[in-house]
Amino acid sequence: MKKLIIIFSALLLAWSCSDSPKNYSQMSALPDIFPDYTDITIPYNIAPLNFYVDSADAISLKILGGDSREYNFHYNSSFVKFSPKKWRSLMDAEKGNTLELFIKAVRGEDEIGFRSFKWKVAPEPVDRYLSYRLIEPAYEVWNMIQICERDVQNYNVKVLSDNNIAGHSCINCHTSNRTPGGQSTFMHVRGKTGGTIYSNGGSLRKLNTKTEKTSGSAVYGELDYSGRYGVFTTAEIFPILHSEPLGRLEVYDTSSDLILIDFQENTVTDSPLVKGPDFQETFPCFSADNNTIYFCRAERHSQPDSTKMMHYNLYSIGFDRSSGKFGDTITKVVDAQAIGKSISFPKCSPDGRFILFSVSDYGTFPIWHPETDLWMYEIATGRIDKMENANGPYSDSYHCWSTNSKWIVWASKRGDRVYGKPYYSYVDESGEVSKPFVLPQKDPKSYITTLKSFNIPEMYNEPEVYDAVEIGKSYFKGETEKMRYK
Amino acid sequence: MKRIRIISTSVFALAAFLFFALGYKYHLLECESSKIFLFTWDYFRETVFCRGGLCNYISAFLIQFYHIPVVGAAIIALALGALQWGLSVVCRNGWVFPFTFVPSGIYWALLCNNNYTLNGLISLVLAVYCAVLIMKIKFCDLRIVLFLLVPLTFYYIFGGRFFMYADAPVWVFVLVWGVTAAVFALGASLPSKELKAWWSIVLVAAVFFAAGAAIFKNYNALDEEIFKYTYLARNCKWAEIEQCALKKQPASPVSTNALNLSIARKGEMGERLFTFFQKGKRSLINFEEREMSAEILFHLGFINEAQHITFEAMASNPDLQRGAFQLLRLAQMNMIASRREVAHKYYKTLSHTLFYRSNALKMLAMSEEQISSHPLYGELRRMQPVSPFRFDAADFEGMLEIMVQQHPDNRLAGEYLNASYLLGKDLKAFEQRLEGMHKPLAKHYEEAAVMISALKGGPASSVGLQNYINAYNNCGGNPAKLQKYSGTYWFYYNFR
Repeated sequence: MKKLIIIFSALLLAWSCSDSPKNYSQMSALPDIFPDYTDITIPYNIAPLNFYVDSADAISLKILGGDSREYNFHYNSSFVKFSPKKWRSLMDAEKGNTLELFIKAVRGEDEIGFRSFKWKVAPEPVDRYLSYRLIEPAYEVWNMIQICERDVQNYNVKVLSDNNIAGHSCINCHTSNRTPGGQSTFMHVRGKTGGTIYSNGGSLRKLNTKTEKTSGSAVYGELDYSGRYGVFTTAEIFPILHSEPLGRLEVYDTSSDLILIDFQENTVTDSPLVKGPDFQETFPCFSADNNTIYFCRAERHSQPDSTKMMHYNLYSIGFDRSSGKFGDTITKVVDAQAIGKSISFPKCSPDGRFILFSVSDYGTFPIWHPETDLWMYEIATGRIDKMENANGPYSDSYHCWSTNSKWIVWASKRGDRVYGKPYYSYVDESGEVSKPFVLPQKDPKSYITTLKSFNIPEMYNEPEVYDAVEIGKSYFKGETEKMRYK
Repeated sequence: MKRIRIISTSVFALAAFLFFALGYKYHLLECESSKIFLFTWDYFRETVFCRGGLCNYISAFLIQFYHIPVVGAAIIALALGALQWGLSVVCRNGWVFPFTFVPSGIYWALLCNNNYTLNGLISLVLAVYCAVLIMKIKFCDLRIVLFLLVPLTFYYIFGGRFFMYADAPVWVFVLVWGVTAAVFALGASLPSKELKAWWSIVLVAAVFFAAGAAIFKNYNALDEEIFKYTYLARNCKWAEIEQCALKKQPASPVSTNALNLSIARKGEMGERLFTFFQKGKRSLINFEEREMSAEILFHLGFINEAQHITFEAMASNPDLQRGAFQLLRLAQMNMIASRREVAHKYYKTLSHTLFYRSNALKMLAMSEEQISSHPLYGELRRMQPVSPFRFDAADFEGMLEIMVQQHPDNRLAGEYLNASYLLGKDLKAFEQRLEGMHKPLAKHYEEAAVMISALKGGPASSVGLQNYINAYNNCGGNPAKLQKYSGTYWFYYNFR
């Protein structure tokens, strides 16, 4: 019996040796890998960047790190799937270094060596949690919406809200103020018994943000760092369908104003400077010091006939924290109309240096505008970076800053024009934005097969205090707090 | 007695097979097209690891075989037969035996409604066989333990949530599970008793008769017709659509829409439109019927709107499933609209199915040039709108006018526009269309042309029209007396 085992093992060894390919060739091209993780900057605390090499039967991967440290991996498939433990030790050891990756792929009898590529491991971490909305890129009807929270250090996902246990209502805009030790968040759950779900210090509240003197419920918005105040848009939103082959959907506001909400006093306030029929104001956000509110504003035109004439500029207005009121003057910050563009979703970096916004040809719904790009505005100098290194051929929008201002994440429709995916980029000291990389998944092919789009990615460092079941309970049974106009 | 049991079960299963294979074929095809089963780990994981997931997974696997209705019918027949057989295994009492057919009979009647699928039936069958197994266990303690554990496990794996995919009335749930449990309990608890053969036959026949009555009551001939026309239109079986309509006048607006699409695709709108029953512009398209509207818009070249409707129809699938056919159509539409990347995404998904795989792989391999020269996709690609406009479903005629203006060579849109004017009795607009038409005119267009001339005060240049006018003047307003002219536009103009 022992002899038999030895003979069998020898045969197996001989067979495995004989299986090695005969023809080796070195190519000058980069390997055809998905997702495209070539020449990128990554945070040391990110989950393993698994990928696959097209048509490979086996893959050998050599990684050269700092001090000529060498890491070798071999996979008998087309997938490179790092073990989490090895990946963690690799990242910890190479924090701040640049890694060079050499890939050899076996294809039948051939072995092909590709041009190496680099991963710069940034020493600054990315925020540990990423929330995003999973939705099919539908028009007006939907049947599956989830807001999920991903721990980006691994692949764990927690469902924060699921419309199938919340009355099939639309759920949107999960947003955090990212204040360490006192994180506040909100999201909107529409429907008969819905409201704005506001979480602060572990308690969950459901709020009706509509008052008799404001035009509607809160829509797009942001919280200040204390979590007490929120600034929001109230808008009448309508969709229309494009007829031309490459168009899809246009969504426009027939009216939109800004409101300030005091979550402590349950009050809503506004200002004649940011409301009224002549202009439309939307997408407000707080500056890093919370003394200013940036927002988009356009002269009102009749819609949908003149939607293409709606060009939103970037404006600012003061915010007085002591009274919880808007300031007395508004200032134009960026004139997009002058160059035939429209600004959406301004977001200030927490270090106060930059404002990141989406720029499209017109209107307020950049996610279906393939020309939409992210632009970065430097507050001190007024310089605008068009981020050519980061933008894709289709819509890039719904962005967010990390708390250390070193990372940005956004929903990019590169790849297929319809399905958004969360892409990260590194922002260096000079404000240069690196080539982006998509949020890693355990199975890298899941981005190809999923029929769900990722949108509204939001970074923060503390896990959300609730889950989908609690949101479901809150939707059906939670008491709705009313707001009064102040 | 055993022979009677085997024969009666076999007769029941055979009847179910024949019913679904012959009488409910298009229900099965419709059910299959609105579901998808993927041979991927992701699909397995997403489906199975939720409450009732395994049951959903098994039924989705089985439902994909409805693509071949005979196989689908066999699956249903086997499942119904298995449910009855499972109940009969524990039944030793001859009086109870005929009632073992009742749950299957009820479920058969439920399956006549496409909102009820195999999920609940699979769940019932598995529950019954699990109960049978527990009954067979001789160790009492083990039986008690299993009796306590199994219901919870079953609820999670085959859960009641998946009893059906639309929201079911609670009484249906109670009826099916209650009757099954009652029959099982009676069969297992009542003492063994053999009946005389003729008694058994009479009782079984009585139950069969009752089940037959329930099934007859639930049989939905109108839906079967709608699904039939939808299936034929989706698969461009224009000749078969016309054959169906000639055999029996379409009974629903959807069938009429499909019929008119087939007539238009064959280029016979002007010749044959009014030989079939028409009722206003809704005979052309009815936007409340999303699936058929999407088909019509697809063929007319309104790809974006067709995609919109298809996507929303898919998003409205009550069990949150993606439909294999819907996904195929979306892939085709994106291919036509040169959105190749997203089309590939859908085709790659379909390449993990059993029945759509070969088509998906073929399409994935097609180059842009091959698509442009494809007889259908190429034609539709050329007919794409060239300048933007907002699609307004409420003004379908206006949309056709824009399409014809942008693509005068879009023959189908031209035929639909003509038909829309005629069905709407807008002779003024039709008169303008006449100017560009080749002579000789098609029958109905000629009828409209001579009518326009006569209404303007000119002589009735056509003998046919003169005869019709004479007959009309003598009929006393009774259309039955003008049956000879029922296939003319004149008749439609006066009486529809």
